[in-house]
Amino acid sequence: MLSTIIDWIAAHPYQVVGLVLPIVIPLALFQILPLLVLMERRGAAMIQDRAGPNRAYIPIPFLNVKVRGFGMIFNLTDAVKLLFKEHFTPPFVHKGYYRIAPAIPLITGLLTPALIPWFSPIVYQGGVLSGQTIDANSGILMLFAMASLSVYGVVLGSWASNSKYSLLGGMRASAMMISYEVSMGLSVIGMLMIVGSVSLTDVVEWQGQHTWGFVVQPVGFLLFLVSMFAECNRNPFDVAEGESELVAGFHTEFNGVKFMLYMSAEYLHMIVASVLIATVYFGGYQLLPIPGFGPEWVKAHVGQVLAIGLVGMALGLLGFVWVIKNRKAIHARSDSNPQDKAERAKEYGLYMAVFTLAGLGLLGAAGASWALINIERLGQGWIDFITAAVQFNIVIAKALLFCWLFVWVRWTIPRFRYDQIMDLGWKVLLNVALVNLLVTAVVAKLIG
Amino acid sequence: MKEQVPMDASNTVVAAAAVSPTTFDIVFPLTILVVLALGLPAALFGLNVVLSKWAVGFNNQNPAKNESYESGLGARYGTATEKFSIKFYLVAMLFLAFDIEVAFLYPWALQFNAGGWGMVGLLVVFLILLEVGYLYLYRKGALDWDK
Amino acid sequence: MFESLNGALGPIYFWTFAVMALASAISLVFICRHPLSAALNLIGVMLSLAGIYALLHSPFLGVLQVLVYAGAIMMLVVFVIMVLNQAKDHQVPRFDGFSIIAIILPVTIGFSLVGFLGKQALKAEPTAVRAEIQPISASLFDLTAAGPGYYILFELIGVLLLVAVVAAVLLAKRRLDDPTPAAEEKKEDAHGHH
Repeated sequence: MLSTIIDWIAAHPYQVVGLVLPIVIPLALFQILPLLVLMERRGAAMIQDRAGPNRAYIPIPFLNVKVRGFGMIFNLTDAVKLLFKEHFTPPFVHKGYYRIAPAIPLITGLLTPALIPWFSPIVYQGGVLSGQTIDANSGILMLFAMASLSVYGVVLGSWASNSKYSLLGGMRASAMMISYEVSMGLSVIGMLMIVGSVSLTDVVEWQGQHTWGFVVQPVGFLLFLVSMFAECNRNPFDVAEGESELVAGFHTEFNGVKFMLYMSAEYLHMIVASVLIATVYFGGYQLLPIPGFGPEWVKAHVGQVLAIGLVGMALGLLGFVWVIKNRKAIHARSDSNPQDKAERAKEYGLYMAVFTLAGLGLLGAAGASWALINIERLGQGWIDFITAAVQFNIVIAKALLFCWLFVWVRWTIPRFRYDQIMDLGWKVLLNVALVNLLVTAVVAKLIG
Repeated sequence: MKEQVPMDASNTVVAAAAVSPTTFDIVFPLTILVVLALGLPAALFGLNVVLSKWAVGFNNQNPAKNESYESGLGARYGTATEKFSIKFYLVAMLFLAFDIEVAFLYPWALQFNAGGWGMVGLLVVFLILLEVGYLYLYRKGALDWDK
Repeated sequence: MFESLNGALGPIYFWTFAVMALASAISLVFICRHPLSAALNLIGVMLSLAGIYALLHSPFLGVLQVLVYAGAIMMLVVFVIMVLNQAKDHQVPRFDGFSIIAIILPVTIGFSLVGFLGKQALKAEPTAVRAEIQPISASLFDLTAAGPGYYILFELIGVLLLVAVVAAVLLAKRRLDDPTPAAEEKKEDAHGHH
């Protein structure tokens, strides 16, 4: 029995990957959440010129070092805190909806990544393994349809809380989200009409053959970006939470894991929004914004592409070692007590050792991939899968840049007033999107 | 290398056209995803229930904890069942109308390259109709939130 | 992939969606006391219907069902429930005079549909692609002289939505111009307290 299963798996690698992907991709995205939280906290500290999260640590017994992980340990403490919090339902809430509502945004956040093309379609004997987990022809529409359901999480949660602040925040948030859904839908049409398809794979393939979307649709890109900020309820559009006015907005009355579900959904939506922006306007899994370097080229040179990517990562790590070295020198000159100084010096020394080793290891891996990964040595199957992994990482790398943009904007621009938000949505973005559509249509016909 | 590229490309196109996704290809991942998307929040929720019982072990009750978060004035200024501005209703109505317009523009966008200038003409007429309604809204002040 | 399974999967999913739709509908009519729960059950019905459309090889129809009905129209319904008076929510009787019409009408429509459809055997090609976005847009925007001219419908939809927008404003405008009832009520409340 077991051997038959193993034989079948060995004989059908593409099918097996197809079966495993729907569960791997959402969970992989879920793993980026702690990174994003860290990015947000360190980014906030950097922009506001203050010390970031640095108190929580794990003592390592034999080395006698406290590992702070640059604030990464705070994610662990957060998760532990929220999971161990008292499971408390306030007596005045509508109990059923109060428990269901926090899950709704997370559900849509886990479903929408399935419609993003993570890698170029792989053709094998007897089928195609699509980069979209759900290979629907009306891809982006289905994505918008699923995303539009996440409003119900906010509405239901705020209503079920039966508290004034919650209800106010929920009403504001839902009115804002539906207002910006219109300009989101309109702004992306400019790109879709040039491509002539609503399938996201087609959009990315078109960008590989011509150029990236933001070059042909700069206005559409900006509109889409702003709409996405509003759809994610992120600053400057975070009136739903507006802590100076509404305590915490729609999730005022939520605690423990229910609060955690709302928060993780917010970050998950941020990732999905970044990935969507990267896919529609920044080439998705395409490597370069010039034609000739499409998926076939990447597949033919996958070892070299991977090697260059690894070298880039290694240089990043080694640069980070240099940053830590400076940090260590600064701390050695500071006027904190000697014991603290000794501990910090040890900790920074550990990081430098680990990151230097990792950087060197990556350089070695880069050399190995340049020399070893080629089609003669590995065969078609492995090359296909390595290409898919490289393309997945290209998408994630682009998306992380936009995630940083989300963080950057949040800590730079103050929150808009509510009437300003509605004016921006209905009076500016809507009209600009319509004009953009018209101009795109005329120019596209003039060019031919 | 040069020879491989066009061959691969044509292969991709031909095979992709020949093999369209079957019901299984769409339905199976969707099922897995729905199970995962429902299961993950449920698992976290269950974990919270179990762990909080194990860690706290008792349910600490006091009157302030049972009030809604309104600086203690909740009881005095009524419940959350307040009436809201009609603006919210209006926004939802307008969203509905504009959303349907957008939904009709998607098929138009799909066919744009196939048609000639006629497609642009269709869009212009459609947008003029849209803009007439929009100007009416604007003049009536339906879009002014702060009035 | 796994073509042999397709035949078996169709009925399983159809029955799942059908049972979900029926359960939501029954709960919507007979069990829910609060309008908001009823609205949520209606969303459940719509999502299951979207699934059934997708099984009938009309995924675009299913997507629009979610996007427009579950996403937009039900949003409006939920908004109306939340904006309007919530205090009376829990006193809505399960059956009243209006229920008689609400029972008779669907039953009549249902029986006439069954009677009409039952006369001829239903034929459905299981593999034919029906409401997919490409054929729909190709026939809707066939601008050739020999084409069906459905693009007129596209413009007519524009006119229809224009009328809808104007009507929405007219309906709401009466409330916008007058001093809002909520403000009046607050005044009354203030008098009551003093």
